[in-house]
Amino acid sequence: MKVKMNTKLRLVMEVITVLYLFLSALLQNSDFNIPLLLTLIWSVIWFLIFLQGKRLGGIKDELIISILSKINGIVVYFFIFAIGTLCVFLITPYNSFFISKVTIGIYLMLILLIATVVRLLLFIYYDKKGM
Amino acid sequence: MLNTKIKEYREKKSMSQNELAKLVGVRRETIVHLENGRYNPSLKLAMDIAKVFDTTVEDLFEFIG
Repeated sequence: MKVKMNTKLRLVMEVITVLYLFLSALLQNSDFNIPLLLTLIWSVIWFLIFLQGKRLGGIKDELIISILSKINGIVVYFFIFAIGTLCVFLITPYNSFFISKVTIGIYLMLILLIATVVRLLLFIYYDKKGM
Repeated sequence: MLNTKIKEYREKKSMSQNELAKLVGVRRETIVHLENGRYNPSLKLAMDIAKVFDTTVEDLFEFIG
């Protein structure tokens, strides 16, 4: 149970962290300032999760390892497709529009956010359904 | 498809899923999936479970189809 909670918690924290970074990237050009305190809070939470992971001695349950292996494989395909699409848009000589680095950064952050959410949802699905 | 007798052996020994899970070093959910035939265990896990029940892997697990 502790291993499952730690894995699910870790995946949720990944989603929240990427969401936080994504929102920070979107808001950085506005007048809204993201407080340094929030960044420190996230760092502390991640440090605690890291310590908890060390205390549990890593993931030992083979079903969790199998599930994570399967969903990581699926997400890698998603990354290949998404980043490949971006590369095509950047490299092709047939477009006349300019893509700014901010747009590229936000697009990459969005890919990361989708990937972390998909990882979490797939983990919950396969954990309930079994392999 | 995998057919298992884990539940049968476990109930004979009046053992809960949680207790069996702790003995073999996995989560309770893994035992649930094993009993329902929704997960194919590794050889090591299969042998650990067989050892707990003092039986053989072949007796515990049966492949159908």
